[in-house]
Formats: sequence, structure tokens, C-alpha cells
Amino acid sequence: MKNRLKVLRAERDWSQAELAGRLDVSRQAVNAIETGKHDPSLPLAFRIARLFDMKIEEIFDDEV
Amino acid sequence: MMKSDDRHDDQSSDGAILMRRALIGFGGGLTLVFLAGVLAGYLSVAAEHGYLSLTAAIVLALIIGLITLVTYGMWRFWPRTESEPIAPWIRSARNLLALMFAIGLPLGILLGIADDGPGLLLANGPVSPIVAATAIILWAIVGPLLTWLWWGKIDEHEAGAYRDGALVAVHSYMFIVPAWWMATRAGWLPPQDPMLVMLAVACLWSAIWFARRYF
Repeated sequence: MKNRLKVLRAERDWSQAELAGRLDVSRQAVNAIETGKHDPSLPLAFRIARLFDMKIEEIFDDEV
Repeated sequence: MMKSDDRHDDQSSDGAILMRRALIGFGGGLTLVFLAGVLAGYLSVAAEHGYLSLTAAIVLALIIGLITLVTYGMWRFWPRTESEPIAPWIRSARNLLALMFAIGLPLGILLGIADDGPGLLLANGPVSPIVAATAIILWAIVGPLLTWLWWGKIDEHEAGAYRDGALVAVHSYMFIVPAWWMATRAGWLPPQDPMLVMLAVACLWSAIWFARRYF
């Protein structure tokens, strides 16, 4: 699934580790989500959306 | 502007770094053990003779030089990463995993050495009750307990990697073992060793987990 996580993170000048800490996941998890290797669960997707104060569909795109 | 740990996006992945560390650690470690053995052999021979010939002294100096060189090489080429903040639960999960290896590896080697049978613990020979009791306690009680504690500390990405590994390993087991069993009954293949089958399943599971987690 495509997502804007990397761009949103860069806009805030956060490292992957910093974002991981804010989301309470490992840095590897953030890296896997950013590169599309891991689709986050719904609870994690909500946490990401809340963190960036956006809707889930504004961050994640399920269209191929 | 991207922060420093974004090197993982376009340079070495975590998996590549870990693989390089494993290769350098294992290869360098084995070389050092071999050189240390040669050094000890030469020293014991010199001690038996009561003196050190010039040739032996040169060889000893060469071995010590090689040990120094290998040690320096391991330090020089060891992949280093910048330190990053790690959440307490991640540190805790890593510590548990390290604890499992720290307990399992030396004890496995010790139990293998302590076995009076035809060889290693996996050799199916008879073992003493104390060795059997220790191995059973470790495998059937300590192992599940540590695994359960570790499972409760990992995040969904790692849990997914672990599940993927289990899925592939169990399916491989389900498809290969019965086929082998039938082939054995037909006289085409030797009988399976259950512990070697378990080891193969565990290796496959770990390899998938590692690949999913770090690459």
C-alpha cells in the first residue's frame, strides 16, 4: 500500500527512530511501512493519522 | 531535511549490516580460535623442550602478528551505525532475545560435550539423567517462558515477520515430512531424524523472520 509517511516525517524533520518512538513501534517497522513492505494494522494506522492530525486516507492510498 | 538514520533507506539495510556483522564475527572468530590453537600448540611444544628455537620464535611472532592483524581487521571492518534512541520495550525484547542465545548456545555446546554417547546431543545416543533433565527443563520450561515474554514485547511488524516464518516453516514441514516418510517406507530415502527435522524447521522459520524483519 502506498503512503505519504516518509514525506510527512521529512516535513517535520523527524528521523525514523523519532517517529518510531512517537508511534511506539520499532524503527524497522517505520522503515517497512514507508517502503510499503508492511501494511500497518488499523490501530497503528489510526495512531499514525492522529499523530499527523490527518485522516487515514490522506496518508494511505490503497489504489495500485 | 532527512535525519541521519535515513541511511537505511538508500544504503545498507539493517539486514545487510547484521549479515556483515555475523560474517565478520563468525569468520574472524573462527580464525582467531584456530590461530589461538596453533599458538597454544607451539607454546606447549616449546615448554616440553624447555627452550625456544629461532624458527619457533619466528613462527610464534608470525602467529601473534596474524592474531593482531585479524583482530584489527575485525575492528576496522565491523559495520558501525550511529546510535539511535531505542524504546525501553524494544531494548527489553532485544535483551530477552540475547538472553535466549546467551543461555541456549553455551548450554547446547556444554550438553553436547557432556554427552557420553556417540557424539553430540543430536546424535540420539543415550544420555545421563542429569543431562536429560537439564535439557528438558531448558527446552520445555525456560524456552517457552522466554518466548512468551519476548512475544509480549515485540511490535506488530516483528510479530508479522515471526508469523510469516512460522507459516512457511509449518507448511514446509507438512508437505515434506509425510512425503519423506512414504519415500522411506518405499526404501528410497533413509529414515528421518526428528531432531534434525526440527532443526531444519527452526532454521527456515528464523531465516524468514530475519528476512522479513530486516530486509
